[in-house]
Amino acid sequence: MTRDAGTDAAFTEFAAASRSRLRSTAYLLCGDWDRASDHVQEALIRVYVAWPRLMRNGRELAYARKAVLSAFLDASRKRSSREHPHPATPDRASGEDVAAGVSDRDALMTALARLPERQRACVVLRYFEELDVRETAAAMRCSEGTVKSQTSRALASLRAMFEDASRDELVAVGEETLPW
Amino acid sequence: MVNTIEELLRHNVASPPPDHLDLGAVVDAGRRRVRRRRGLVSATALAAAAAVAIAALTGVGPGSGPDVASNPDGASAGPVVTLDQARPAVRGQDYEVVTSYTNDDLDRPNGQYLSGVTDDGLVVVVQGPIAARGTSRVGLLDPTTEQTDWQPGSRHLGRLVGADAERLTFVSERGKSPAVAVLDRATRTWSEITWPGLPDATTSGYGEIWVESGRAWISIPRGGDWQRFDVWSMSLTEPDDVREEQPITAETTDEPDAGDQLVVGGTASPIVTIRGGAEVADITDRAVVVLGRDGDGVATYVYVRDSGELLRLADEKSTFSSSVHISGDYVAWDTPANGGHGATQWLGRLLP
Repeated sequence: MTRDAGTDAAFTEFAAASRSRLRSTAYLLCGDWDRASDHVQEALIRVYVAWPRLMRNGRELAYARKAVLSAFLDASRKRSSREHPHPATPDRASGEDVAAGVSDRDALMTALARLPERQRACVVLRYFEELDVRETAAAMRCSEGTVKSQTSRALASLRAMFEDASRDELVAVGEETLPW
Repeated sequence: MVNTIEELLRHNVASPPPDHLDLGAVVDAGRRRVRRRRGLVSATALAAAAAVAIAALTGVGPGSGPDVASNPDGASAGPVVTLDQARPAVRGQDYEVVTSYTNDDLDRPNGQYLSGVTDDGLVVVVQGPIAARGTSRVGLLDPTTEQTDWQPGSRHLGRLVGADAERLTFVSERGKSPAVAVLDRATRTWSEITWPGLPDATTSGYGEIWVESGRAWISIPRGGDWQRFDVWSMSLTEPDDVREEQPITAETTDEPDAGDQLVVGGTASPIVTIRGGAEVADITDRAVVVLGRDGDGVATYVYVRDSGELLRLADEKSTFSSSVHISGDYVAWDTPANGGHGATQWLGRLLP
């Protein structure tokens, strides 16, 4: 693994171009902008370590996205189980509170915070990053079947939370439901 | 009125506060981490995990296990093969196809998948998860008659980790503590088992569950680049039957592909070094199935331990990433279908 000023410059250019998008993804995962910055910093360090190989394979962004997810999941595991994952919305403990004057987008963040981490990750990767099932499975290092089941459960929970809070119906564009 | 998730997500990140991330500090921290890692061996996380499993199964203690860690720079005593040397595998001579299944569209919320093979030669088929409920049903396909015996019930199921003549064991996706869903094949009944006696690993997280010798096994990482793993084994029928096994030490890395060579070890067989940018897909007593980058695509290879040959099983790999539980002579791989939107899963047997 050889490095020189050229590879560092290429990495810095990539990091500058992708940091904003990665931070948005991290924010949707963790619900806190400062913590999102921490996750992006850790992810970019991991990208730097792997950079020469990533350049050869042209997988920089996919790897960076995976590293953000990994940093988020690692941090979630290490945090106290008593700590609320979304300190920005600590008071909204019930559907009634959600309904009381917050916007639909706030309601979504509150509802997202109540999902298990991996279900939340499925929603963010599928509907914000617009990854397909295969790409999401690769990012989460799990099977396509797991992505499908986690996403289904996440969407059902989000819809139920919106319904309980008497908010407008929540849909995901392109979602399919096939019976068997 | 209708809200779309996509739109609400985008609105939530439309006006972020200023970002104070210092890219110079990122580069400095990255350089420090590179220096620290240079002393470590190149191996994939999967290879390390497999090595951990092998060490645990053979009861090998710290320092004497699968020597991924003690073979820096690939200086192993075992065979060294390169992907370029592989010869095409010949159907009917090197292997036979037991069965195959094609999913035309992997993006559908549900589908059918080959998930493994039992010790008595039946193929485990999983159908689902159903979009609304997220549950799946399980069938046992007899490849000689091509009949599938669908088992009763539909459940939340994760990976198949054990398949013998008595039971099928899946990782359960319910709850945060390790748990498995077990199908008793004789009575055709399901049970879910957790183990209250397992130590709490909220901080470090639990490793993957695997099944061997009629018991479930799990590793609990204890931190550091050179990691110590505590290993526990648990009964598949009695929740209170939990045993602490011999701890093991192995190097792990969070890099998906940490180098151009792959070192696969275990006490049951010699260490083999595979050069050319490979990644382990499966390890059995007889073979190591690896994926190797080939131009823009990925090809599937199998290293046959007894002959020492590296065979090229398939020139293309689909984007399907589900693991198939195999053992003995079986090998599993997949190829693209429907213009890359789908995949054909293949289950084969290596011939003597």
